[in-house]
Amino acid sequence: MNDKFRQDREEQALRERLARLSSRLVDTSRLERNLAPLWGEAERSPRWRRWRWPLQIAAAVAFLVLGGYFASTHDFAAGEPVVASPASLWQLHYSEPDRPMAEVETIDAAEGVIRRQWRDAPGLPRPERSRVIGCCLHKVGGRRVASVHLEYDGQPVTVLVGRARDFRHDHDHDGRRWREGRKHRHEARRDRWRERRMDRRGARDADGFRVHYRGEKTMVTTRRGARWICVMAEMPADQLKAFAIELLDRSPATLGGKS
Amino acid sequence: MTGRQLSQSQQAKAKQVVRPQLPLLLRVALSLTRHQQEAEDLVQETVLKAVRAIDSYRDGTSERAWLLTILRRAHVDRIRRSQRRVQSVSLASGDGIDPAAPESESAELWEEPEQILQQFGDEQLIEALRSLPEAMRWTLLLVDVEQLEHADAAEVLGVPEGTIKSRAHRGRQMLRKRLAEEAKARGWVDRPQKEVTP
Repeated sequence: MNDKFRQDREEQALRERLARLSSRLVDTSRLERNLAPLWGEAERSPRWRRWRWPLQIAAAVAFLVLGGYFASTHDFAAGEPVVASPASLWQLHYSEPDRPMAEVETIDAAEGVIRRQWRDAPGLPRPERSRVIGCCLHKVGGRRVASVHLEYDGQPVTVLVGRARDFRHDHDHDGRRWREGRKHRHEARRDRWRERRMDRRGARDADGFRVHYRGEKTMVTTRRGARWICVMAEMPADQLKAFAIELLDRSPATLGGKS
Repeated sequence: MTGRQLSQSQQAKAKQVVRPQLPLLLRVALSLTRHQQEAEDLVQETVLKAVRAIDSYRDGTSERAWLLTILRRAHVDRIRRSQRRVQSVSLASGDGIDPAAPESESAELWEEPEQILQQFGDEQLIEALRSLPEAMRWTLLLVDVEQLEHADAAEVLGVPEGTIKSRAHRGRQMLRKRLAEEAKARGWVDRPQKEVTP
């Protein structure tokens, strides 16, 4: 085999090998996309891809709106019932004048205002001989309560209404209501008698009253149906209890119900 | 220039003439540059220029030669723009073959050239092509890789047909020399091959 022949053979082999390079596959997809407008074609992208960003934004907005809506209409913090401490409840009563409050004149108006912010708010008690001043929403131990401010016998009275499942209604072990304050023996006996009397009346919803007082500050809490109710005022305990009984006699028993 | 500025007939012509050649243009561009993005940019620039000048394309002539001419000019412009120092031979000046080159481009003959060439991958071959002077590289790309007629390759490179033939022959020898060195380095050639001088 002479050199000339071998050189020709090599050159031919090289040409054939180089020719095979033209069969290399190249990815022109990006070029096609970029250049498509030049020949009057829209960018070839799947329909979903064109709508991807608008869809993502719409989904995020929908999530936020729905989340906000559910958060405003449902109490997601509801879990184990909490104990509403007398101190925190008293604080609400005394700080009311400084808090933003919707001025209303009737319980219906107060319910309307409250249900705009708390759709499932329990029904409010309907006092007969008192003037409605205003209402607002509070949180006690992370649970929502509707607050109505009344004037009864010239005294400001705060009525808090929450859901019974949100608040623990503590009793002592022998079933007597827990109370605070030092009293003379005859006072204690009188109070126990009055409590028993109230209990008989309040026992219609299988729940008694809890009376908490210190000096002239009196607080009565009870459960009625699915509601937890607290009445606070600076008035003698028996006077506030009487008011509470009168109030509850006229209040709806079911959660969210109206009288 | 966007598609909206072209008439419908121009768009149709561009689509008919340019679009089918995108793989060819990208393949050549990839052989000239090292990066996909750079190659795509070069092709895009070429296509934009081609579409602008679509009316100058004469039906019946080689669209491949027309487009590759634009690609080559765009490539040269890019090199000039980037002020890259091009060590290869200028395409504008003659055939650019160094008279002293024949002595330096001697190579050993292979016993089984087909088998040895089979062992080179496409990328290795392209890398070897890139190492050639610009004029040789273009000639081999057009004539041997893309199988253009000598007349079309001459039109692309703006040189006589005879120059293309001599460049092609010379380019193959230079390429074979590069490959022989590579094969030797990789141990694909077992026994000493006979050295020849082209």
